[in-house]
Amino acid sequence: MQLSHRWNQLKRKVLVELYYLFFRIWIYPIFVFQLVVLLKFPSWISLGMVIAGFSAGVLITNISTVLSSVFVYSMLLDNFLKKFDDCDYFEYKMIDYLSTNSLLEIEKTRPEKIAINFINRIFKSKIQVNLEDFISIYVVKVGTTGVCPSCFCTYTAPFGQSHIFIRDTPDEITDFGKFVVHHEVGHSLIYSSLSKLRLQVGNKTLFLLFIWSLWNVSWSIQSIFVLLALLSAVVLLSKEWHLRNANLHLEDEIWADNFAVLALSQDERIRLLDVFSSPYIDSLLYDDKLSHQQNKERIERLVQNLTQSANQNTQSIDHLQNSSHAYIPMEVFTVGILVITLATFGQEPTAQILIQLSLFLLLPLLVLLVILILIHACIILAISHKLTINVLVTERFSEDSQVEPSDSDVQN
Amino acid sequence: MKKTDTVVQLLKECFPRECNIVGSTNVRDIAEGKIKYVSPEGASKVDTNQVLQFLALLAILLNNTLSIYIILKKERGEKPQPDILRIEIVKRGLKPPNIDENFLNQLCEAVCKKLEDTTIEDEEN
Repeated sequence: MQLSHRWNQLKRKVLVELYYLFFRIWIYPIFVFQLVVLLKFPSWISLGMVIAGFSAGVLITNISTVLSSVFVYSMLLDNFLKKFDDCDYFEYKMIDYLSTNSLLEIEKTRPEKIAINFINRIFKSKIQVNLEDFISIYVVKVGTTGVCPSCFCTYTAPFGQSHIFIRDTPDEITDFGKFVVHHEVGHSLIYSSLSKLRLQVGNKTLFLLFIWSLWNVSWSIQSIFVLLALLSAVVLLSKEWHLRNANLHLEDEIWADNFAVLALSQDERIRLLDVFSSPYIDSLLYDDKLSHQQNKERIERLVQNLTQSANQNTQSIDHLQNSSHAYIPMEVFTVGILVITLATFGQEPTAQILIQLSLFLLLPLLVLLVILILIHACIILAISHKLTINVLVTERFSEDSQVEPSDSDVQN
Repeated sequence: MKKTDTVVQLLKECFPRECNIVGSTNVRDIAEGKIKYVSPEGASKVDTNQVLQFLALLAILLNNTLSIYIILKKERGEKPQPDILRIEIVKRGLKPPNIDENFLNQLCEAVCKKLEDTTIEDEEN
C-alpha cells in the first residue's frame, strides 16, 4: 500500500517536472529554437541569438502581462472608483484580517519572495519583500449619495497589486467575510500565479516564433512541412487549449477555496458550513468565467472540503492543492517537439540577421513595453490619488478619537 | 432603544445566515434604509445582491411592523399580540406579496417577543 503510494508520488513528480520542461518551451520557444541552433553552429553570434531569443520571450510575456494589468486597473478606475466616487475607503493591512499562519503560507509561496530569497542568497544581500505591497484591503463606507457596491470585489492585476474591497472592518468581519478575504488572498499563491501566467501567454510566443523563423530557417520542403505542422498544431489544438484554460480557471478557484478553508478555525468552518447549505450559495459563488457544470463542481468540492475539515480531516485538502499539475497537455508536448524539429532546420546566424532582428523586432517590442509601463504607471497614480484622499479621512478619524467613525459621521 | 437598532437586532437574531453573508455593516445600512446597491463590473466578485435584496425587503417589513406595534400600543393601551399585529399589517396592505402568512406570523412573534421588555425610542415620542 505504502509502496504504491510512493510510486504514485514519484510518478506525479516526474510528470510535473516534465510538464514544466515542456511548458518552458511553450513560453520561450524562440530561446529553445536558438539553443538548438547554438548546438548545431556554436559561435558567439549564435550565443547572441540565444540571448536575443530569450529577450523576445521575456518581452512578449511582459507585454502581455502589462497589457492585462492596464486593462484590470482601468476597470478598477472606471467601473469601481468612479462609480463609487463618494464612498470612503479605509485601508487595512493583511495582518488585520489574516492569521499569522496564513501570512506565512503566502509569504512562502509568493513568486517575488522566492526570487528575492534567491538573490539574497547569491549576493548576501538583505532585500525585504513586503507582502502588503502586493495586496491591499479597503473597507468601503457609504457616502452622501448612499451608493455602495453590492458585493465583495477584487481587482487583481498580474503586473501589480490586488485591491480587495469589503464592507466590514476586522472587528466586525463575519465568518463568510473572512472566507472571502482569505479566498481572494489565496489567489496570490504561486500555484495560482503559474496558472495565470499560462493563461496570459497563450499562443503569443509561438506566433512570434513564426515571424522569427522567417529569418532563421533554411527553407526547404521539409522545413516548410514542419512549420506548417507546427502552425496546424497551434491552430487545431487551440480549442483544447481553451478548454484547459477554463479548467485552469476552475483549479485556480479551488486552490483559493482550499487556502481559505484551511485558514479558518474549526468553529468558523462549522458555522460556514451552515451558510453554504443555504439556497443562496449558487448565486453567491457563481463565476461568469466558469461554465455551469464547473460552477457546480467547484461548489460541491468546497462543501465537501468544508465538511471534511469541519471533522478535522484536512489531509485530503492539502493533497488537492497540487493535483492540477498531474496532467500534461498533449499540445504542449506536440508543440515542444515540433519547435525542436524546426530548430534542426535553423540556418547559421550572421551578424546582419542579429542586428536586423534586434532593430526591427526586439527594439519595437521594447519600445511598446516601455510605453505600456508608462501608461500602467499613470493609471496606478490616478488610482492611488483617488484612494489617498480617503486615507487622509482615516487618519483624521484616528487622530480625533482612536475609534471607528460612527455611521452618522460617515453619512455626513 | 432606537428603531434602527431594534431592526438590526431582529435581523441578526431571525436571519443569522443571511447576516453572516452580507456582514454587519450592510445589515446596519439596510436597516437605516439610506443605501442603494450597485454592482461593479470587471471585478472578481462574490455577489451578495440576492441576499441584500431579501434583507432590504425584511428591513422595510420590520420597520412597518414596529411602527404598527407602536400605533396599536398607543390605541389600545397595552402591548399587542402577534396575531393582532399580523392582521393589522395585512389590513393596511403592508405585507409584501412574496411573503406568506406563516412567515409573517413568525416575524410578528419575534417582534412582540423582542419588545416584551424593550422600549423603542420612537414609542416614547
